Amino acid sequence: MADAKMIVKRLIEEPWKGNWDVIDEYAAPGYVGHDSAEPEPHRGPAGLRANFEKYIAAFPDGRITVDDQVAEGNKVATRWTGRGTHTGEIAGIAPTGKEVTVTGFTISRLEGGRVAEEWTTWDTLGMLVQLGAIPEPAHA
Amino acid sequence: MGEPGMSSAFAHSHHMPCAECGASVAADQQGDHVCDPERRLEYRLFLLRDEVAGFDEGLRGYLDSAQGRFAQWLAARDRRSEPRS
Ligand SMILES: [Zn+2]
Repeated sequence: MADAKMIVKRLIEEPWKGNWDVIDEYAAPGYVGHDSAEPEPHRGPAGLRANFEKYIAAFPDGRITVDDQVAEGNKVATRWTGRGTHTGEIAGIAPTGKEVTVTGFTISRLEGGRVAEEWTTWDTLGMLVQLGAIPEPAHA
Repeated sequence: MGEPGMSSAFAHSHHMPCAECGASVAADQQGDHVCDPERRLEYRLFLLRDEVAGFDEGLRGYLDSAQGRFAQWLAARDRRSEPRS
Protein backbone atom coordinates (compact mmCIF):
# COMPACT_ATOMS: atom_id res chain seq x y z
CA MET A 1 0.00 0.00 0.00
CA ALA A 2 1.27 3.45 -0.85
CA ASP A 3 2.52 5.62 1.97
CA ALA A 4 -0.19 7.88 3.49
CA LYS A 5 1.70 11.09 2.70
CA MET A 6 2.15 9.99 -0.91
CA ILE A 7 -1.57 9.14 -1.25
CA VAL A 8 -2.55 12.60 -0.02
CA LYS A 9 0.08 14.35 -2.15
CA ARG A 10 -1.12 12.57 -5.29
CA LEU A 11 -4.76 13.29 -4.53
CA ILE A 12 -3.96 17.01 -4.10
CA GLU A 13 -1.59 17.46 -7.06
CA GLU A 14 -2.52 14.99 -9.79
CA PRO A 15 -6.06 16.09 -10.80
CA TRP A 16 -4.52 19.42 -11.88
CA LYS A 17 -2.44 17.48 -14.41
CA GLY A 18 -5.53 15.70 -15.75
CA ASN A 19 -4.80 12.49 -13.86
CA TRP A 20 -8.34 11.83 -12.64
CA ASP A 21 -7.60 8.17 -11.90
CA VAL A 22 -6.16 9.19 -8.54
CA ILE A 23 -9.64 10.16 -7.36
CA ASP A 24 -11.02 6.66 -8.01
CA GLU A 25 -7.88 5.17 -6.56
CA TYR A 26 -7.42 7.27 -3.43
CA ALA A 27 -10.74 8.93 -2.47
CA ALA A 28 -12.99 6.71 -0.34
CA PRO A 29 -16.55 6.13 -1.64
CA GLY A 30 -17.84 8.05 1.37
CA TYR A 31 -15.34 10.91 0.96
CA VAL A 32 -16.27 14.20 2.66
CA GLY A 33 -14.29 17.37 1.95
CA HIS A 34 -14.68 20.48 4.13
CA ASP A 35 -13.38 23.60 2.38
CA SER A 36 -13.15 27.07 3.97
CA ALA A 37 -14.38 28.57 0.68
CA GLU A 38 -17.47 26.36 0.39
CA PRO A 39 -20.70 26.53 2.39
CA GLU A 40 -21.32 22.78 1.99
CA PRO A 41 -18.82 19.91 2.05
CA HIS A 42 -17.97 18.02 -1.16
CA ARG A 43 -19.42 14.53 -0.93
CA GLY A 44 -18.05 11.41 -2.56
CA PRO A 45 -15.36 11.14 -5.25
CA ALA A 46 -17.75 12.86 -7.70
CA GLY A 47 -18.10 15.87 -5.38
CA LEU A 48 -14.32 16.08 -5.02
CA ARG A 49 -13.87 15.91 -8.79
CA ALA A 50 -16.53 18.58 -9.37
CA ASN A 51 -14.67 20.91 -7.00
CA PHE A 52 -11.38 20.37 -8.88
CA GLU A 53 -13.13 20.93 -12.21
CA LYS A 54 -14.54 24.26 -11.04
CA TYR A 55 -11.06 25.63 -10.26
CA ILE A 56 -9.36 24.00 -13.25
CA ALA A 57 -11.95 25.66 -15.54
CA ALA A 58 -10.87 29.03 -14.12
CA PHE A 59 -7.13 28.23 -14.00
CA PRO A 60 -6.53 25.66 -16.77
CA ASP A 61 -2.72 25.86 -16.44
CA GLY A 62 -2.95 25.67 -12.63
CA ARG A 63 -0.74 23.45 -10.50
CA ILE A 64 -0.73 22.63 -6.82
CA THR A 65 2.60 21.79 -5.22
CA VAL A 66 2.90 20.14 -1.84
CA ASP A 67 5.40 22.07 0.28
CA ASP A 68 5.38 20.07 3.51
CA GLN A 69 3.62 17.16 5.16
CA VAL A 70 3.36 15.80 8.69
CA ALA A 71 1.69 12.47 9.46
CA GLU A 72 0.38 11.11 12.74
CA GLY A 73 -1.82 8.05 13.18
CA ASN A 74 -4.35 7.99 10.33
CA LYS A 75 -4.04 11.72 9.60
CA VAL A 76 -1.78 13.72 7.30
CA ALA A 77 -1.33 17.50 7.47
CA THR A 78 -0.25 19.10 4.19
CA ARG A 79 0.90 22.62 3.42
CA TRP A 80 0.54 23.44 -0.27
CA THR A 81 0.90 26.24 -2.83
CA GLY A 82 -1.34 26.69 -5.85
CA ARG A 83 -0.45 28.78 -8.87
CA GLY A 84 -2.30 29.39 -12.12
CA THR A 85 -3.41 31.90 -14.73
CA HIS A 86 -6.98 33.14 -14.48
CA THR A 87 -8.48 32.54 -17.94
CA GLY A 88 -11.95 31.30 -16.91
CA GLU A 89 -14.66 32.79 -14.72
CA ILE A 90 -14.45 32.17 -10.97
CA ALA A 91 -16.70 33.53 -8.20
CA GLY A 92 -18.39 35.76 -10.78
CA ILE A 93 -15.03 37.34 -11.75
CA ALA A 94 -14.52 37.47 -15.51
CA PRO A 95 -11.13 36.18 -16.74
CA THR A 96 -8.31 38.64 -15.98
CA GLY A 97 -5.30 36.84 -17.49
CA LYS A 98 -3.52 37.39 -14.17
CA GLU A 99 -1.44 34.70 -12.55
CA VAL A 100 -2.25 34.06 -8.90
CA THR A 101 -0.42 32.25 -6.13
CA VAL A 102 -2.27 30.98 -3.07
CA THR A 103 -1.30 28.85 -0.12
CA GLY A 104 -3.41 26.41 1.89
CA PHE A 105 -3.48 23.67 4.48
CA THR A 106 -5.31 20.37 4.31
CA ILE A 107 -5.71 17.77 7.03
CA SER A 108 -6.63 14.39 5.57
CA ARG A 109 -8.02 11.41 7.45
CA LEU A 110 -7.30 8.05 5.86
CA GLU A 111 -9.22 4.80 6.09
CA GLY A 112 -7.89 1.59 4.54
CA GLY A 113 -5.45 3.30 2.20
CA ARG A 114 -7.92 5.93 0.99
CA VAL A 115 -8.74 9.48 2.00
CA ALA A 116 -12.08 9.49 3.81
CA GLU A 117 -12.31 13.08 5.04
CA GLU A 118 -10.44 16.36 4.51
CA TRP A 119 -10.45 19.79 6.11
CA THR A 120 -8.95 22.54 3.97
CA THR A 121 -8.40 26.23 4.62
CA TRP A 122 -6.77 28.35 1.95
CA ASP A 123 -6.08 31.98 1.11
CA THR A 124 -9.33 32.82 -0.66
CA LEU A 125 -8.96 36.50 0.27
CA GLY A 126 -5.46 36.53 -1.29
CA MET A 127 -6.89 35.12 -4.52
CA LEU A 128 -9.57 37.83 -4.61
CA VAL A 129 -6.98 40.57 -3.93
CA GLN A 130 -4.65 39.22 -6.64
CA LEU A 131 -7.54 39.11 -9.11
CA GLY A 132 -8.39 42.71 -8.25
CA ALA A 133 -11.84 41.82 -6.88
CA ILE A 134 -10.87 43.33 -3.49
CA PRO A 135 -8.63 46.42 -3.40
CA GLU A 136 -5.05 45.95 -2.31
CA PRO A 137 -4.10 48.00 0.76
CA ALA A 138 -2.37 51.28 -0.09
CA HIS A 139 1.36 51.12 0.61
CA ALA A 140 2.58 53.83 2.97
CA MET B 1 -15.44 51.43 13.21
CA GLY B 2 -11.78 51.89 12.43
CA GLU B 3 -10.18 54.53 10.29
CA PRO B 4 -10.93 54.49 6.55
CA GLY B 5 -9.11 51.69 4.78
CA MET B 6 -8.67 49.66 7.96
CA SER B 7 -10.49 46.67 6.54
CA SER B 8 -8.15 46.50 3.57
CA ALA B 9 -5.20 46.13 5.95
CA PHE B 10 -6.25 42.46 6.14
CA ALA B 11 -6.28 42.20 2.37
CA HIS B 12 -2.50 42.00 2.06
CA SER B 13 -1.26 39.32 -0.31
CA HIS B 14 2.24 37.83 -0.40
CA HIS B 15 2.01 37.62 -4.18
CA MET B 16 0.60 40.14 -6.65
CA PRO B 17 0.29 39.87 -10.43
CA CYS B 18 2.64 42.19 -12.36
CA ALA B 19 0.57 44.99 -13.92
CA GLU B 20 2.55 44.72 -17.17
CA CYS B 21 2.66 40.97 -17.80
CA GLY B 22 0.24 39.40 -15.26
CA ALA B 23 2.93 37.11 -13.79
CA SER B 24 2.59 36.28 -10.12
CA VAL B 25 5.41 38.03 -8.24
CA ALA B 26 6.26 37.55 -4.56
CA ALA B 27 6.14 40.76 -2.52
CA ASP B 28 9.86 40.55 -1.64
CA GLN B 29 10.84 40.06 -5.30
CA GLN B 30 8.88 42.90 -6.84
CA GLY B 31 11.99 45.07 -7.21
CA ASP B 32 13.81 42.33 -9.11
CA HIS B 33 10.99 41.29 -11.43
CA VAL B 34 11.69 41.60 -15.15
CA CYS B 35 8.80 40.89 -17.52
CA ASP B 36 9.18 38.07 -20.00
CA PRO B 37 8.42 39.81 -23.34
CA GLU B 38 6.43 36.83 -24.63
CA ARG B 39 4.31 36.71 -21.50
CA ARG B 40 3.74 40.47 -21.67
CA LEU B 41 2.51 40.18 -25.25
CA GLU B 42 0.23 37.25 -24.39
CA TYR B 43 -1.19 39.18 -21.43
CA ARG B 44 -1.85 42.30 -23.55
CA LEU B 45 -3.56 40.21 -26.23
CA PHE B 46 -5.63 38.47 -23.57
CA LEU B 47 -6.79 41.82 -22.19
CA LEU B 48 -7.68 42.97 -25.71
CA ARG B 49 -9.37 39.67 -26.64
CA ASP B 50 -12.86 41.20 -26.91
CA GLU B 51 -11.61 43.94 -29.22
CA VAL B 52 -9.63 41.43 -31.30
CA ALA B 53 -12.73 39.21 -31.60
CA GLY B 54 -14.87 42.29 -32.30
CA PHE B 55 -12.52 43.40 -35.09
CA ASP B 56 -13.12 40.23 -37.11
CA GLU B 57 -16.87 40.54 -36.66
CA GLY B 58 -16.80 44.25 -37.56
CA LEU B 59 -14.79 43.55 -40.68
CA ARG B 60 -17.21 40.79 -41.75
CA GLY B 61 -20.15 43.14 -41.17
CA TYR B 62 -18.48 45.89 -43.21
CA LEU B 63 -17.69 43.55 -46.10
CA ASP B 64 -21.36 42.48 -46.14
CA SER B 65 -22.65 46.07 -46.19
CA ALA B 66 -23.43 47.97 -49.40
CA GLN B 67 -20.38 50.17 -48.79
CA GLY B 68 -18.14 47.15 -48.15
CA ARG B 69 -19.40 45.32 -51.23
CA PHE B 70 -18.74 48.37 -53.38
CA ALA B 71 -15.24 48.73 -51.93
CA GLN B 72 -14.53 45.08 -52.79
CA TRP B 73 -15.88 45.57 -56.33
CA LEU B 74 -13.72 48.68 -56.74
CA ALA B 75 -10.60 46.89 -55.47
CA ALA B 76 -11.21 43.96 -57.83
CA ARG B 77 -11.68 46.37 -60.76
CA ASP B 78 -8.48 48.27 -59.87
CA ARG B 79 -6.56 45.00 -59.70
CA ARG B 80 -7.84 44.00 -63.16
CA SER B 81 -6.97 47.40 -64.70
CA GLU B 82 -3.42 47.50 -63.24
CA PRO B 83 -0.91 47.70 -66.10
CA ARG B 84 1.05 44.46 -66.41
CA SER B 85 4.79 44.94 -66.29
ZN1 LIG C 1 6.00 41.52 -15.43
